[in-house]
Amino acid sequence: MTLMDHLPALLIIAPLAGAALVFVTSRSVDRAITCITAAVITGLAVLLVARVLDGGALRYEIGGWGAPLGIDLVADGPAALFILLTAIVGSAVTAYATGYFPVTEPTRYGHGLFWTLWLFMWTSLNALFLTGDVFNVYVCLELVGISAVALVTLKGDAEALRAGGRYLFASMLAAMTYLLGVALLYSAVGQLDMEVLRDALQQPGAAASGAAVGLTLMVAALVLKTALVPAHFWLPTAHASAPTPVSAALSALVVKGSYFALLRLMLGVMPPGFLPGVDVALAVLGSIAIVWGSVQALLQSRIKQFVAYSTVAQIGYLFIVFPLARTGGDVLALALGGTLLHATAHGLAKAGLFLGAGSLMERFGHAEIARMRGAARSAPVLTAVITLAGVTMMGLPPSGGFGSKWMLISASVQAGQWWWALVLGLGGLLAAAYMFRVVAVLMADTADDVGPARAAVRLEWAPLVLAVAALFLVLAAPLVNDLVAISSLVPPGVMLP
Amino acid sequence: MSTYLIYALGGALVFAIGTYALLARRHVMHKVIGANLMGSGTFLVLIGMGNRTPDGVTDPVPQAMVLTGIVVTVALTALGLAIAKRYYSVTGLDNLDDEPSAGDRP
Amino acid sequence: MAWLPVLIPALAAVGTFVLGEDRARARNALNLGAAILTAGIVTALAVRAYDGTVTVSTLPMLPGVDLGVHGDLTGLLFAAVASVLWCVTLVYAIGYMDHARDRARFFGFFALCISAANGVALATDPVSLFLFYEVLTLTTYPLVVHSGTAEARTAGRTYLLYALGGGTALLLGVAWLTVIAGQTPFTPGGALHAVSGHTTALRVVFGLMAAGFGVKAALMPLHGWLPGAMVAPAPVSSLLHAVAVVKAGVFGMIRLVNELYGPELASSLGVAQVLAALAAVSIVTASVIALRQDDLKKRLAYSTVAQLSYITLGVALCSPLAAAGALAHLAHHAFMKITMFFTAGSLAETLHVKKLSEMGGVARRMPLTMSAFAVAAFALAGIPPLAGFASKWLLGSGSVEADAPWALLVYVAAGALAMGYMVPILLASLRAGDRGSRTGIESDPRMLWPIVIVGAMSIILGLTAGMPGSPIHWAMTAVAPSFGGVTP
Repeated sequence: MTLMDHLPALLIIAPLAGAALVFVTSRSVDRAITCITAAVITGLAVLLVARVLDGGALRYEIGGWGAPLGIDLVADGPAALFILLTAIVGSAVTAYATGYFPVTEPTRYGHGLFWTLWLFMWTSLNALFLTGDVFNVYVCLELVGISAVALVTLKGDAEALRAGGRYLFASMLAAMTYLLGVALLYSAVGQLDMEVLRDALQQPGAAASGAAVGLTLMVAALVLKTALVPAHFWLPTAHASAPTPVSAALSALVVKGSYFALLRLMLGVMPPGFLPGVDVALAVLGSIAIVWGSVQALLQSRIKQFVAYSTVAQIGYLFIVFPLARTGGDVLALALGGTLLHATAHGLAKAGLFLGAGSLMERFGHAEIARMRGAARSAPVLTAVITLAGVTMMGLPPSGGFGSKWMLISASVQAGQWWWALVLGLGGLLAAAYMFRVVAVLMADTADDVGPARAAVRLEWAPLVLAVAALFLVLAAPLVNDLVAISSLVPPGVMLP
Repeated sequence: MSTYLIYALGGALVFAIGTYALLARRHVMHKVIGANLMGSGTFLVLIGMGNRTPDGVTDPVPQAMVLTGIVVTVALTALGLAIAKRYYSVTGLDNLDDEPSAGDRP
Repeated sequence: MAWLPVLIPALAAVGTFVLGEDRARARNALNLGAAILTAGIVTALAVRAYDGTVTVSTLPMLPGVDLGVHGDLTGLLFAAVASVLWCVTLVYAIGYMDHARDRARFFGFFALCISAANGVALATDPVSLFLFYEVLTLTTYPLVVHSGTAEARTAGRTYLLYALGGGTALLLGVAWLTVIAGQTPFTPGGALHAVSGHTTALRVVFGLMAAGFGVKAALMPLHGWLPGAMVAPAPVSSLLHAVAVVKAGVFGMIRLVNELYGPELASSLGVAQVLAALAAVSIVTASVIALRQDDLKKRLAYSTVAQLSYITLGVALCSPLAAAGALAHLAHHAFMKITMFFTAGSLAETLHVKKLSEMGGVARRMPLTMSAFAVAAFALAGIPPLAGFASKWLLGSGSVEADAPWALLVYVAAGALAMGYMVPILLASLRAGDRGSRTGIESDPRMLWPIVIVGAMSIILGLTAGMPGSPIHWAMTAVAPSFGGVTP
């Protein structure tokens, strides 16, 4: 075994080691260790993508036990893509955090704990993307959840604690429901490994057993974790009241974690129509999320709440894929590619948007959108961040959002389900409405010419890099499609072209 | 009526009670206890499943799952209690319902 | 090579943003250099295209979809107009914005708009065209709301509402078309013969795409954004709302009818006739509305709506001469209308005159400027031998050729109406008034000479109409393959 074969394990060990080191060493080296760890993870992530593109999906047996007895890690194309996204966004968030948490005020926002918790969350996210075992998904989800809740409550004020508490209870509800689902699934099928389950569920009679009940509970739990409308109630407060780097990581990455688990269950494990109607129901809820989240974003007066509701809306796009997937062939490839491209583009742009919004709040000293007039003059880079990230939210070219919208619309028309195309078109217009409402304020003329003091350079450039990356992501679409082709996310009995 | 069914039905009942408490009760402690009940219900289902194998040999996997599940639940509970305690000391409230005017700190 | 007209302005924009607000000399040099370079490259591409060499360059993008640009004659005519007028407008804008704020933002987005307009011009296929078309929408928005006033932001909101609505229609149309026919490069004479059996789908797709282009082409009833968008600074109104943005719309129509559907398919589906009827109504209605405008820029805006529909009608007639006339008018109208908007900007900036009723004495105060305006106005009304006459003559002959005498009638009536809304402006400027008594004559030379140059172009283009390289000759050469030849 060479180093390349151990990549999946290394991607979990590296951030875990970093987290442990940060915890035990002196506070003065927190930042340095986190930055080095982020660089190492990014390097490993690039290697993993190269390895997967080169040699196909990697299956890694932890401790050499192997399924069904042991727990396997599966690094297929989509997993590698999410790992890479997490590495890029994570590095930018880390760079931002070094500027955001002031060295001189160690107690502000309770940031002494930030670095450990953040690396720990990174560990759990990588583990979640790589796991190929439904029970291990539960464990990883909880690890992500615990670190995420702790990060939300870092500031320790009433608002943060309340948001964190609600987030925790939503997490607990989802966790217990998911675990009961796993219990029922195991009692019916006697397997936990996704690939073994996939074969078992194709046996005649599998649908009639308790497996269907178990899987329904698991899907419901993951939907709650992903904050699909109407289970989004916990998201806006949790994402908005967290410290800015945490908000970015939660919106860009954490919801993608549970979503990816859902994608694996819905497409990689269950044969088409195993849970009749669920795929359409999820897409309908996704459509409602697009409209409802956008309308709410339009109504928010505070900038981070606004960004958080935009996440509620953007999550909706990720659910259109399910009714399209069963068609197979080109439609499946297009829909899956579009969905993963959207997840990637949204991850980059939303992290940029949250970091940019947080910097604007630092700059102005408040969160009211209406009082941020004239930012285009006093903070041109941040205005550019909001605008460019907005282009991705709207799905306009040349952003990755455009590429994904194009692919999903093409897939809908090809599948003969053109109504989803209309939803996608409407979603773009609504996103334009809520984004330009804010951009118009930032570009408004103001008599007050003296901008507030300049923020740290990292508070401007980290989000700009993310927003620009999202803006030109359509050029990365071929890479995403290559990775999709190396996927276990293809429903049994359905083929990619 | 097999032993497993008793465990399964009992577990489902406990799970339902826990769900109700988590969703309907406002007091933070009730919610934490509710979540723990949901976990316990699930563990009952899993434990009962262990001896359902046709050859009478106990299946170790559900027990391993319960063990892991307990660890996770303990961690979640600890975090929940810590938040509840801190929240009470900051606000004097025992529920998360109210929307007091929120601070605008970034 | 075909990417350069898109890339150079984009890089100039990035440079402008990086240079920042205070380094005005470097910024001006960068932009002017980029503009001249772009114009030179477009000319070089055009020379090659005249020789029959079309430069194509593509980039893989989405599955089954490449992003491509090519230097064909039709596209290059639009690119040439945009690039040449960018040079002229830059000089004007440097003078106009001399003491304004946020100039880096202004010139940066300005260059981005030119980049997007050149992309629209050179795109090889509907998907690539859509991509640049939407970028054009986005990059124009900051220019429309540039002043940041409440009025400007309202205009910006209206603009976005129309443009993004149209963009969504275009997206759905293009996506549907791509599902039916795959990625179809623009081909003279039409690219959809293989799938002409899908009549219903093709009709709907045409409707969606025409609606998308119709917004920027200000085809009534989709013109509502244009008069409001005139709150932008004068150079923006000039270049973007008389040249790049609106012309991107009509240029899309030209590609749609001539090179995507092809004149034959478009008329056999019946969609060209509907488009022609809409355009005819739009010409007459907008001309009549223009008669009643006191605000100078509004009057010019409605005149733009009418003149753009000339082009749309010419394309929709599906006859070779009318199509050539439409393409030539795209170029001629750009020169005529930019003269007028420059003048309106000079009047507003130097004399604070914005309405016809305030124009008394202006002609004495700014004789050269108003002479240039008069030349452009007469050219627009189609007085021979000025530029507007040549293209209108082609449009008229095309109507006869297409056996559509009603279209000829519309063109003649619209010419008379154009006289009706242009002459009052000239008369108003000749009236006695206190504007003549102010000290100094004319305006900043950087604003004066561009006006004189583009005004003179209206004469030169009219006189050289028959020569190779003139818009008329260029347009006839460009549309010939769509019809298998053009005989004047």
